[in-house]
Amino acid sequence: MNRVAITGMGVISAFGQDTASMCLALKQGRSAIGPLAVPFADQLNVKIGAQVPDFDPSAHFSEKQLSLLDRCSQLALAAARQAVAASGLDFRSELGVRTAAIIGCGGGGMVTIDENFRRLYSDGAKRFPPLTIPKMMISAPVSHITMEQGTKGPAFMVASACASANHAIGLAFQMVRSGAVDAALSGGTESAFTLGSLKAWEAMRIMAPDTCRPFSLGRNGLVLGEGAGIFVLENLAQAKARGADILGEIVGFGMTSDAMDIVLPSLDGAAGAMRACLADGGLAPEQVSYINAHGTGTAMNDVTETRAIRAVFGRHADKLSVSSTKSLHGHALGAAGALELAATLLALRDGFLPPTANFTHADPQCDLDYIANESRSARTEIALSNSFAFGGLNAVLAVRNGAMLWQ
Amino acid sequence: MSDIESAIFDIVAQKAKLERSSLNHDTELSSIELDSIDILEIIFDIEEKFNISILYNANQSPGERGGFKTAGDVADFIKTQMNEGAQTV
Repeated sequence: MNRVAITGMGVISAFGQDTASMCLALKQGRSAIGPLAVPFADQLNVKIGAQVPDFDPSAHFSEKQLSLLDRCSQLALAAARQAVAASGLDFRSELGVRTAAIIGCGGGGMVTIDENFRRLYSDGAKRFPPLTIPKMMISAPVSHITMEQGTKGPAFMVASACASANHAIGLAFQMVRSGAVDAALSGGTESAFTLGSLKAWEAMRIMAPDTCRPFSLGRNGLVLGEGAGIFVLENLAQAKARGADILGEIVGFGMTSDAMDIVLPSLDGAAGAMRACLADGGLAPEQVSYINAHGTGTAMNDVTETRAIRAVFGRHADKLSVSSTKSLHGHALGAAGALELAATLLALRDGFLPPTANFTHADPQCDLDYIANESRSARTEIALSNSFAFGGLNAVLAVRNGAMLWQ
Repeated sequence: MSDIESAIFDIVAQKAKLERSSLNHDTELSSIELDSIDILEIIFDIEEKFNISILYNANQSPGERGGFKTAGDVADFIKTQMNEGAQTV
């Protein structure tokens, strides 16, 4: 079994278009949630979100490329470029044949679907642009990444709603660990600030009208985000041999299915995924110091997740630091796990833990240390990152701080 | 019983697949097997029927049946929301 290093990371998020902007905002506890800049805001009941600011597609892609690229593909490609550049690897080589590309996305080309269907149903359009299908298909982002980066090994998308990115990264981790491939590009992407998508989310009655305050008393729902996070995963021995900058090591991955309800969370399912992750990594609960929680800010999730953490960690739960960075970058759905893994790795690298923003008062039902509002200096070796999706699809990753690999 | 209240009970009865006459203000939602998703659908049906928008956030009344105990609780909530200026859409 190979150990698996992360040697490259790229992020497009509501904080900005690089990892530095994310790292700074996490450290400052500065939330990117704000009024939605969309032309249809007057049709919305919930008018806030965490949008990627100032992303100019024409600065990244030619006009011809853009005719093929939904916004979710654009964000994924931009993040992948950062990740590959940071890794120092070139996949247009023998390595590319032994490299997988596995990306998570919840909804696919939502902007393309929304725009074109509106033209057809409402604006009297008689036809679609010729490449609408390959632009909107949910697998488009990974296809474009393989074409641009030259990876020729296994490539596919994973769709498991809000756990898509964690499932994708977990599968990539397993493939590198087993030796099926030598490297992988993996992560998640999502962009769903369309009228149709937002009205559908509103209809679920779980959206916060003001802000996202996970685990806090008075929390009243989730706030949507968007973005992409892409990582280069690599056989750790190979990474070490070439003197790569190792951001972190993925040490465990656990998955479960609740088999219970299409929207309600399950304590057993969440706890089972965390337990499976610890077992997979050969980790004792006491080795974990930080959990980047799923922490959506809904009444139900945060209580269930708190109880699940207590069930898994027992007395050690009182020593854990737990935060939900969704309070800072919003809930990026299929990209959530990727943004949260990036947040976790950046914080570990820079010796701090990111806070849960907008925290006002403790909820008696949520009784862990949630790093309220201000980041905290900490030297952390092992962290978990939780994703629990609608429909009971749970995926948990465990990572080790890259600076503490050799201890 | 007002027209609105009557319409709400019609929708609750329809959702629970019961005779309208077997339903009253004190009928417990658990006894007629309605869950939190049924509550969302009842509110949606009312919005569609009266062409209004009712502010309801499930996070403010969590639980298996959206924090509601009886059919009358649901009707009272919707009536209050409508009186407090539910928006015509």
